[in-house]
Amino acid sequence: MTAPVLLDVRDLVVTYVSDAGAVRAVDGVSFAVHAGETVALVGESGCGKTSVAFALMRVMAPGARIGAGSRITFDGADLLALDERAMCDLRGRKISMIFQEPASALNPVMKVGAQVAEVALLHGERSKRAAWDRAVAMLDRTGIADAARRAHQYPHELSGGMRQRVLIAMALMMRPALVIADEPTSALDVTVQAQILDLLRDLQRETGMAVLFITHDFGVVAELCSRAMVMRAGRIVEDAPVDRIFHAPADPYTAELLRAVPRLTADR
Amino acid sequence: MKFAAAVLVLFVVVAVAAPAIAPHDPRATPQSETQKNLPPSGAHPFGTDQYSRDVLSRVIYGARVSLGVAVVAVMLALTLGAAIGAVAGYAGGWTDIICMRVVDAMLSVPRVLLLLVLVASTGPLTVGGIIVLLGCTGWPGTSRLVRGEVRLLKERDYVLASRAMGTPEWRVFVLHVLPGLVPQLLVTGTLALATVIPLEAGLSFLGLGVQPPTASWGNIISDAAERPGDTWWVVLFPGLAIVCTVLAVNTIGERLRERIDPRGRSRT
Amino acid sequence: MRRFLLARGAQALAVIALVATLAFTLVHLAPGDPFAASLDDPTNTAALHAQQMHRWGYDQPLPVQYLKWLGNLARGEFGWSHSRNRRVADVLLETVPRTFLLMGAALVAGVLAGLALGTWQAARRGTPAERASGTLATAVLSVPEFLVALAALALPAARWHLFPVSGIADPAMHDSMSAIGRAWDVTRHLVLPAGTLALLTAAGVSRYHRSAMLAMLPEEFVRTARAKGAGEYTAVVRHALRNALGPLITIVGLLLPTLFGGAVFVETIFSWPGVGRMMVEAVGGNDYPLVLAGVLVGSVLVVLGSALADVLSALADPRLRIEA
Repeated sequence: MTAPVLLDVRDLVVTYVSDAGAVRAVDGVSFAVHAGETVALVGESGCGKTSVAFALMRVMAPGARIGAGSRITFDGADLLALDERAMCDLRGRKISMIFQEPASALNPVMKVGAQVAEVALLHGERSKRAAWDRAVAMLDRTGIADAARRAHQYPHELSGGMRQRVLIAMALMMRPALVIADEPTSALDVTVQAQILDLLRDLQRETGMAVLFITHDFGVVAELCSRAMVMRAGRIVEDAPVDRIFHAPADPYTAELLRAVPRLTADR
Repeated sequence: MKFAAAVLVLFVVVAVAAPAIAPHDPRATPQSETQKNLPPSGAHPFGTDQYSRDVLSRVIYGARVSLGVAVVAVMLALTLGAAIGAVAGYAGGWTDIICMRVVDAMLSVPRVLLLLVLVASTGPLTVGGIIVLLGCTGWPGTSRLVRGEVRLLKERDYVLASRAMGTPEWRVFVLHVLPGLVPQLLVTGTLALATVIPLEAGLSFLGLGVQPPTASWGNIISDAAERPGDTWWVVLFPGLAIVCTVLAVNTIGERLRERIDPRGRSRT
Repeated sequence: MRRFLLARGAQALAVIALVATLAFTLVHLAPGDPFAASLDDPTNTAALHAQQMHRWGYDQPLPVQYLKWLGNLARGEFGWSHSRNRRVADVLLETVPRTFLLMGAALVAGVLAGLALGTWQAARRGTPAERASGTLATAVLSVPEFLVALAALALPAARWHLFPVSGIADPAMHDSMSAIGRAWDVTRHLVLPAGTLALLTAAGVSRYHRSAMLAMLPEEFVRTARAKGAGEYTAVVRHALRNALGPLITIVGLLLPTLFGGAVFVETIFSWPGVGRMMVEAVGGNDYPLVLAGVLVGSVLVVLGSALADVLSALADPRLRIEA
């Protein structure tokens, strides 16, 4: 790899504390993401991959704790040592996230244009007018037709695919170095999924940003990623280039996952 | 919660044991004028009022009246409300519609006004009369809740099963639907107490509730209403009694509600 | 939207009609009559009593009285107040605006304060300060309104003479003041009674609002806001608050009956000459027409208020607006 390491995670442990006891959702995960790389974090539901994503951005639920021995380094800085203010500055600007459920991830009583513009306003843009214009431009770039009019609408007036494009626009507004995409297509219809994946691929090529895809869908992995990390029960069991994963998986669990993908032709 | 229960028990004990613990006869008005309006002292820990009556004794006997009236009135309201609400909910159709319209009407009159109108009709009341009054104005809230509950319970599997076995409707109602109401009624009743105690006190304060010389926490206070600053003890001690009991009842009611609500039904 | 408004309006009217009927029935079912008190007067003979009853139509059968009363109501004629020797309508014209003023001021101040407090409590959840304020709010709510009013009377008023403690205007000076002077005079008199009611309203509103806000905070869109780089304040106030406002309006509608009840006590204690105090005096004086009118006014207020709240809350939520 010639590109520099952008994100370096060492021994990440995430524990959820509740009345029923403590659960280790992430049990000592280590990996690195290089600048401009597209990496997938694959696994079944409940394996802890979303917890990893939230931990990276430090937007975890109230009951979650990051273990003391964990290390997250981003762009040279120790992420876990940053105070909230510095973290807020990073979020949205250098690291951003695309959420899974567009319907609930958008504020229902706020116009979508305002929600996208808010990213700019939070990160230095002084003029509301300019922020709005930038938002409209971004919405247009993510493929929303008639963006200027759509920006004045509320989330419930848009289709699922359009809402997802709004989320993408929000994530990309400030040209972050790293985008974490949490199951960006799971909530969408199949045809719309294809469109969104194409969009993400184009945008990645255009901006050169690194993307960490959290997914359970090997189709996404195959389409977009150069490298994949397979997660199981809080641990990474395999970390290899996509070609190798598909053709010669090293770990038996990976092989099992691949076998579980429905195929049109195979007679297994 | 334990503390609140202890406080309540204390008040109940005081109320029941009133004749035994009150140092003076609450109605005694010694002929000598020098006993009027004395601030708290060794002989009269809560002071005396303008009729030279010992305030402590009046507060103790007042506990009997205020608590007794509240408890019986709430039980009356619960019974009425549950009966009407259950019948409306179970029978449905026109019975339901008519009952609920009456409930709506009664709920849209501020309860105090309703009470005033009734007192206007009947004139000064005995303690029994006040209980009936409070009970007859308190049932609409309960009936609405019970009706909602019954409508839910009606569709529960065990009710349908019982019906399918051929059990007569009334038996289904009594054996299966009614018991399901008990937790809700418990909570409603407890919280209703917290409303009725101040209501009776307020009425008595206005001179429209319990008539002197019978002591109720409310009418003790009305003696000092003109100049509460001067004879503050006549206001403070009964007032404290009211506040303590209401707080205790509220705390218990809230805890009960927490215990009952999350289980057994899905409230979003 | 229009259908919703019409349906809501019709419902309100039906309820008011029902209330009117109930009130009428209750009052006239009573033993005795408006002139019972004067029977003690030795100059009042049975014949005179019968004459008075006939004059005011109290000797007619009940259904007839009811219909006449309805007819009068429709014409704006509320009857005659025996205890005040004036038309009820005139009494209402005087007292209703004053209660409006009192309740309005208390509502605005109380809701704003409760809103601010509830939002602050949600933003600072878990801290000792927030827990203490929550306990304080519950404590305030456990004190009956008349006690709070008495306390208000006893403290700042008696000791420091900061604000007037009774009436709506200075009896001696008011009429000779300028318009601004008069407005200021009324305002000064408004402070204590409205403040008492506002305190209670704020405590109640803050409790509901805090729960509503806390229910909003785990929502996905708040997490999205934080992922965009929004700080705690922005996420809470800008995003969660906007969503919690809808239920707030409904809550305020539900609080109206309680507020009116509180107004009755506050008006009595502070001698604020509004509908509440009028009612209490009317009950004492067996003045049926006045009592009936008071009940009607009270329930119309509440019914209209909650209908308004329903409409406003529908307007506030863009999901409920039906775009053409």
